[in-house]
Amino acid sequence: MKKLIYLSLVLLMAAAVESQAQSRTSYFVRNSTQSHEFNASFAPQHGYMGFPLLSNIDFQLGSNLGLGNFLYPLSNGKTGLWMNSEVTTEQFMSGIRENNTLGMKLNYRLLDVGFYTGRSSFWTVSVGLKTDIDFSLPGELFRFTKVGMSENPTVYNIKNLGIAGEVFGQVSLGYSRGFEGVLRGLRVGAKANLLVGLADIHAQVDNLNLYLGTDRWSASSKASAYIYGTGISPVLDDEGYLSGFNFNPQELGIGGYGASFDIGASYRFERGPLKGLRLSASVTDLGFVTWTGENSIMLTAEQDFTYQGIEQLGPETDFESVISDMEEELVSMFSFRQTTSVGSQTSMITATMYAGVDYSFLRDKMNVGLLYSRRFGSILVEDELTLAWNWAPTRAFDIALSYSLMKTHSTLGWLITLNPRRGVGIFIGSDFTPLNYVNVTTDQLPFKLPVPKNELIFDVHCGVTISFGGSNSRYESTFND
Amino acid sequence: MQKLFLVLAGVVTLASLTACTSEMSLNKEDLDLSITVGGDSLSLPLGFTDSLTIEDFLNTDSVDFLFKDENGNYYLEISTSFDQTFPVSQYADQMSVPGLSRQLAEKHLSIPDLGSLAMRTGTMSFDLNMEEEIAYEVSFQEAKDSGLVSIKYLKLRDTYMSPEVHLTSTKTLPEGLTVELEVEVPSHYDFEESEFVQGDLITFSGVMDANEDVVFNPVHLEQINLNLGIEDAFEFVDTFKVHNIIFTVDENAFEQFMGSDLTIRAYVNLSSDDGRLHADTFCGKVDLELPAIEESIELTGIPDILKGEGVSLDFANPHARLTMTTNAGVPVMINAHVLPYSNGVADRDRAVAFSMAAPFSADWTVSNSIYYWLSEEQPADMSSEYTWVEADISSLLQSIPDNISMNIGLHSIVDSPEDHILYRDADYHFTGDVKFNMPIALGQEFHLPVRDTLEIGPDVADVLAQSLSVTDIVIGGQVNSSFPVSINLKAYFLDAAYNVLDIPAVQQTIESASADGETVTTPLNMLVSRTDIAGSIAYLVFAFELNPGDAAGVALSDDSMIQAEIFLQVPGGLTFDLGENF
Repeated sequence: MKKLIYLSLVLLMAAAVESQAQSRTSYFVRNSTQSHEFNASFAPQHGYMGFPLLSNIDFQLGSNLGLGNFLYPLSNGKTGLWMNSEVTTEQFMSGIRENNTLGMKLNYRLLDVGFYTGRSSFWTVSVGLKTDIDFSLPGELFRFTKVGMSENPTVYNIKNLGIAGEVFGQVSLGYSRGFEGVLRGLRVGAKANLLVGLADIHAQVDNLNLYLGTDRWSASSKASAYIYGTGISPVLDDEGYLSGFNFNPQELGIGGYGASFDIGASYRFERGPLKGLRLSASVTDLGFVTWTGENSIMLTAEQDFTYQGIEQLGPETDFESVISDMEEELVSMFSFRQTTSVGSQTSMITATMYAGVDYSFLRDKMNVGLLYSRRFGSILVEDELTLAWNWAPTRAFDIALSYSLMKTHSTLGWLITLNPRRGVGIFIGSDFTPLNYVNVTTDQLPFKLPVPKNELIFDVHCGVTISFGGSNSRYESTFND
Repeated sequence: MQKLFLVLAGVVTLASLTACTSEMSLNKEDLDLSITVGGDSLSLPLGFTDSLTIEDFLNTDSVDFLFKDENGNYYLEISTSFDQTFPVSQYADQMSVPGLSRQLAEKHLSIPDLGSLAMRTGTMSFDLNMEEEIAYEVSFQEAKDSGLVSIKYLKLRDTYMSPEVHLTSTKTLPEGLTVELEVEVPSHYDFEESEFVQGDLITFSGVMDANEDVVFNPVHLEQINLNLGIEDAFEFVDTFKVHNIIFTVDENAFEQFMGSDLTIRAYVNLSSDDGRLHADTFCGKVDLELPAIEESIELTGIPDILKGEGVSLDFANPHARLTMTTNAGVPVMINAHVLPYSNGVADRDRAVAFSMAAPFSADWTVSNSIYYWLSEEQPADMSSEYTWVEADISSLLQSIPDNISMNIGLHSIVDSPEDHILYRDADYHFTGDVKFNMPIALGQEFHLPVRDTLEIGPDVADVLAQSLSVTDIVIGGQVNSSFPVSINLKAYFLDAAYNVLDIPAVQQTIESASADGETVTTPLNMLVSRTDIAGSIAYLVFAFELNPGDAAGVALSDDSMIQAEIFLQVPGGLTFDLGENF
């Protein structure tokens, strides 16, 4: 019963935000006003306008790691950490992925309008803000903390450890149309986005090789970072190493401009044994932002460290000093130094590729689909495979469930869409709603706090639209058949 | 709307069926914040010890009697010298005997007339025509009792035979009266060559002075050839004979002298000024024991490594080189007794004694040297300038004492082929230089430790202590050694006051290098068992102990080295309780 209550609370909390969202689960929703965000060829049945300021809020905060990855019940009845000797390496690593993320994504659309010109030409215009922050925590890093030295030598190669964040405004103009005259069921679309860069921060350990042997401990690291944007300036110490940043909110503003494009196509079999099957593919956010040189800070750190023990071990050996030096050397491995001179810099924004296949049945009232996506993050490339089920008992209402296989293991996606032909519509859902919870009791809380066990994630997509009416050729034809 | 709620209910129901919850308490008492880091094979490379050569084992810088020869072999060399002077006079004085001073029987003579006298040209002579023996008793018994064995001869200094004649007359004695006195001396008395000496007969001639005394020119007695052997009596009588006294006077003065009665008193003296006969040079044999020479060699500043408890040194062909220089005319046997002392106690079991002859110098103004090589066996490559003497000195420095006492006795060689010559004015010097040379070798008794004490500092000590309090640790790594002997590597722990902790020491034998000196690597694997007193650990000591075993006799060379590459391994990792910091 408690589980039901918790889940209901989550749903209600999300539902409290009347919203229209860009949800992976919405990819196969027939009447979604947001699916064109994934594939520029997609179009809803009718025109719409996003409710000002609430047209789209797409927010994701959390990680694909959860409490269950780091806290374990012990034989003494207590709760222990993953580094407790009772927790086996296999037990711990079974819950750790090769790439683990911690991040925040916000796609906020101030203005969003979609409308038909003619029977099959659909236009979209939108203005919004995108924020994408990713921490990449490679599984090798966790293996290192748990396994340590398991053999002689033990070698670790840690890649993709870093943080990347970008904030930019976006003005988009999209167009899609069907080509019934050429090939019935084919639809192609494109979207042009003008980007206004506000900030782009990136710090990454490209490569950290650790060698732990009885003969030596060594590490080599190569790290790089850049900061694009205004209002931030580096603070360097006497040796030219980065010691901090000065942040001046008054100087925040536009640091660069860019452009991106979305392109997409879909084909729906209208006849034959494959009738109801739709194939689709798209690429979104294929673009860049160019930052002026004065708004660009480039940093780099590359260092090798080798500790082979102490030469000439003897009574004069000062172990404290050796350890202190070793600590300094290790810290210096990640000491960034500003590169001498940079001009204007161009950063690619995070593009995503989608490929989907879905099949409609029950007169297009229900469909199932399989969506593959690859997100080309600057520090992390994420693949995701999502199974989706949609049911639209009426043309104005759709409910969808999804299950994503790769980023998480025990989350469920869901989406509820109310999109009447005319009037106000809402869209709410989540691609990753954790299913396994831990009721945590602490000395500080008077109640038990349900915390996602395996994936500590909060993901919600919501928005509010106003429909203009009109028609959608596919939907009309299907329902009329 | 009814359908909508049905769908919502369905979704919620589906989610509920797939969702599950569990309980977890993060209350302080329910949290176990102990963590284990490092993994099953956590190893901390400690590093490399210095390449320890035998120089480090021996700590040559701090030992001023440890040297390395041109071949890189180490040896201990302890040197001492002595210089002793012996005035010969104190022995020569024993060769002094009372001189001869004898008054002859008083003679009376009536001066005859001219007809009964011998007439010479312008002079008149008459004699006493006497024959009187003088017995001279000589005794060297006192000298014999003091070690005199035989006397070949004595050379005398300032010893003269000087007769005297005193005349009285009933008439005035004529001026210019000349008196001649004939003395026959024993044939073994050698007087100076002069006109007065004719073989054993000495004719003294003198002119009466105003006091009516006749003073003769003395005749120097140079040498007495006694040739007394050890069986001979050292008391004897030499007989001098006065054969005649002849008077000669001028013919013109004789007439007034005729008819008078003349009284003659004659004396015969044989001595130096002090009335004795002193040997300036003695030749013969003496049985002398000179005062012993005592030398003590303080061996200070020796590190424990060379003299600590349990240190046992071994030597390859130890030897001593003795250079003795002297101007002595007496063959002398040197009897040396070397005795090591430790903590003020003589170690008589390791005493060394050896004897050898000192050089001989027939001319005391010239010094001669002799070189001795003392060892158990005569080395094949010994320089020809040395004379080898068998002496067991290998045990002397088997462990290094606090000091070495040397007693050097000097005793004349009575049965030497050379005559003993004592020059009364001479000082006989005995100068010696002794070098004990002990090439350090690896013997069965050899045991030499060197310690590397690591002050591991509070951080490492804490880690070590914490680890040892819960688990065993392994001191691992490898040891490269080119020592031709096995080495015992021992590790133990000290507290902050350098007291050895009661944690069982761990040790391992490091293999010896091959015969060609090629380095051999021995894996190091010493298990230190868990202990409850680990919290007191402040120092980790590595002690390397040369352990020759069967490789006895191999010299220690600086070509040999040993180096350890050490890591600490904590199987199972280090366990910390983070809760202690909260």
